[in-house]
Amino acid sequence: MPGIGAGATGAGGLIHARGLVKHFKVAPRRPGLLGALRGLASREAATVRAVDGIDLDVAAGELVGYLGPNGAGKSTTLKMLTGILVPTAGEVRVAGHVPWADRVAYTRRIGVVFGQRTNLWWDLPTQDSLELLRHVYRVPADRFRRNLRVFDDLLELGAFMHTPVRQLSLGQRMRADLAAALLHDPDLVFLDEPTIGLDVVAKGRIREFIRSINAERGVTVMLTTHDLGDVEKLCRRVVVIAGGRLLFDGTLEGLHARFGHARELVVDFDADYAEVPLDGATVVARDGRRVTYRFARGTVSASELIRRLVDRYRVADLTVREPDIEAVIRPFYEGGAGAACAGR
Amino acid sequence: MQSTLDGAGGGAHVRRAGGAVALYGVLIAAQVRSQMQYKTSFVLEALGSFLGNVAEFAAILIFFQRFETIGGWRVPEVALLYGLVALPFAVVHLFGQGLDEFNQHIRQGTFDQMLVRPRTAFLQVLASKFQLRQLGRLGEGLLVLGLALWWLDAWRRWGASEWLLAGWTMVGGVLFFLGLMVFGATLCFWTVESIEAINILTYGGSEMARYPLHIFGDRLRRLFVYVVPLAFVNYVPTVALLDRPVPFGLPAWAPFASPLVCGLVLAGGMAAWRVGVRHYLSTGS
Repeated sequence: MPGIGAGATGAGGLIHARGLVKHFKVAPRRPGLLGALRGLASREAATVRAVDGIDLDVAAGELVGYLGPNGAGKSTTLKMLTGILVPTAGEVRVAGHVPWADRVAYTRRIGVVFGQRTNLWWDLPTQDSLELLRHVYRVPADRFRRNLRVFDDLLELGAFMHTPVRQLSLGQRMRADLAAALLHDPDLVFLDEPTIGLDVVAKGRIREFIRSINAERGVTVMLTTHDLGDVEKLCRRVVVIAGGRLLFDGTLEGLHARFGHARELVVDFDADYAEVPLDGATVVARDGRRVTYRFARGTVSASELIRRLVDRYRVADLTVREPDIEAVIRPFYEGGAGAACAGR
Repeated sequence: MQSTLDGAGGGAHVRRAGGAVALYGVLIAAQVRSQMQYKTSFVLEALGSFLGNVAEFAAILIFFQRFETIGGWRVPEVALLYGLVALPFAVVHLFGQGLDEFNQHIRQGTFDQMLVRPRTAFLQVLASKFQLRQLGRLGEGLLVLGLALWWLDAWRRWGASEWLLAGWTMVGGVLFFLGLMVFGATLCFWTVESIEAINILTYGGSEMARYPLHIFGDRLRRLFVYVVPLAFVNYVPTVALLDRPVPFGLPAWAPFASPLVCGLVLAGGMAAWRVGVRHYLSTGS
């Protein structure tokens, strides 16, 4: 296949990936320096297909949720798109650059937030960290101040501007990290689990900020998350991968239609029952008097289900649970994995 | 749509180097400011480092209480040897501390963060750690070198050529230890336990180099002349500064070759570093 130039990705095409593959050779680790050297020499390595042929096109201005179970290849994809990893095969162009080859020119145009670790200097006050990034990205002082003012309004950084980063709460740190990733006006930001470990209020604030930079500043966002709330609040488009392959690429509604978006009803009974069948729902877990039902959103309403329940049984307590992303897409990738196993 | 990146002509290299030095300065200055907030702690730590290192020199002086000479060398001569290795070692540990702790960047994944910034990764690693307390080590190096020059009466007896050779030699020492630290950091791309291995050469080597190399066996001597050219950091040039014959059958220009030989060490280190980065980009671990 001939190489496709930067301009050939169609109007507004920002990310263009074709047949993206990353295989790792995993040699059995041996302890110590000598062990590592021996590991270098040996050829007994297993191949892990972390990403196994992904096509992806993202247009400028999109806000894409990139989802998948742990080990699906999300981080590996992000690492290839940000230039941290060189693909084993396939073609990547982002903003007209081959990420790993034009690293310095390319990274000027993107922002990256890894939710699990900070981009800031641990021992320095937030303000100093942001100031250092201004120098790293060579952002003119006036533009830096202007951006910082905007981000301060949205994220309320002022309260902890002079606090060393190591003393920030997780939510504060994430707000600072988001500001840090956007100070140089990138065209595109990659956000890896930006709401992980945050409480509801902090999550809301982060989501509002992401929505705002996408809608008002036109920043393209690619977001990985385990939180279905993030996706429902933010993403018009959802890309799901599992086992290194693309499972789904479309709208959130399309995702629900395809996966059936099941909800769960958790019931604590007030008496012991041998069997607790319920029309329109299936029992998925049972632990003493606590029973978890699953029901499809389109077929029966929660209120109808609860009415049927209290008509037949004595109920102490109940909650309706929105499943997380894992639960929603599990049938999808388990099916895929099952098929792969069957084919072997 | 590329803006200022593609500089025109040969000035681009100079500008890029200037930009790198400026960024290094900014990153270091921020760390200095934050450490200066705890002045007492900085002073105590620097003092501790200074005294700890002075104790090592004192140990050598105590040795001389029992024996007139070490391998035919007297106190002032050994002190010159000591100073010429201790000072560059201290300079590199002051300005290249980030390399010493590079394994943490690999382990904690912070190296990835450096790769998604539009600046040279090496520069960011170098500037990632700066400890003011390393000034204590630097102080000790200066003290010992000063004492040596005083005892040798260098101010009256040395001409311009000796001063130049001494300065030139210390440039070599800086290149040498920087090169070793780059090698050590590079090994972290394959194993995070490598820092200890390279410390045998940096710390161990710099301690051995405080003694005249001819007191060691043949094998060590050859190792430190031809493989890890520690001999060129201080011993070979010091021999010339003390008006002694060039040792080990080396050519007459050998004492002046320190920055060249040590520059090769650094060049080798940088080449290895680039291989290491490429390895990292293909394996991500």
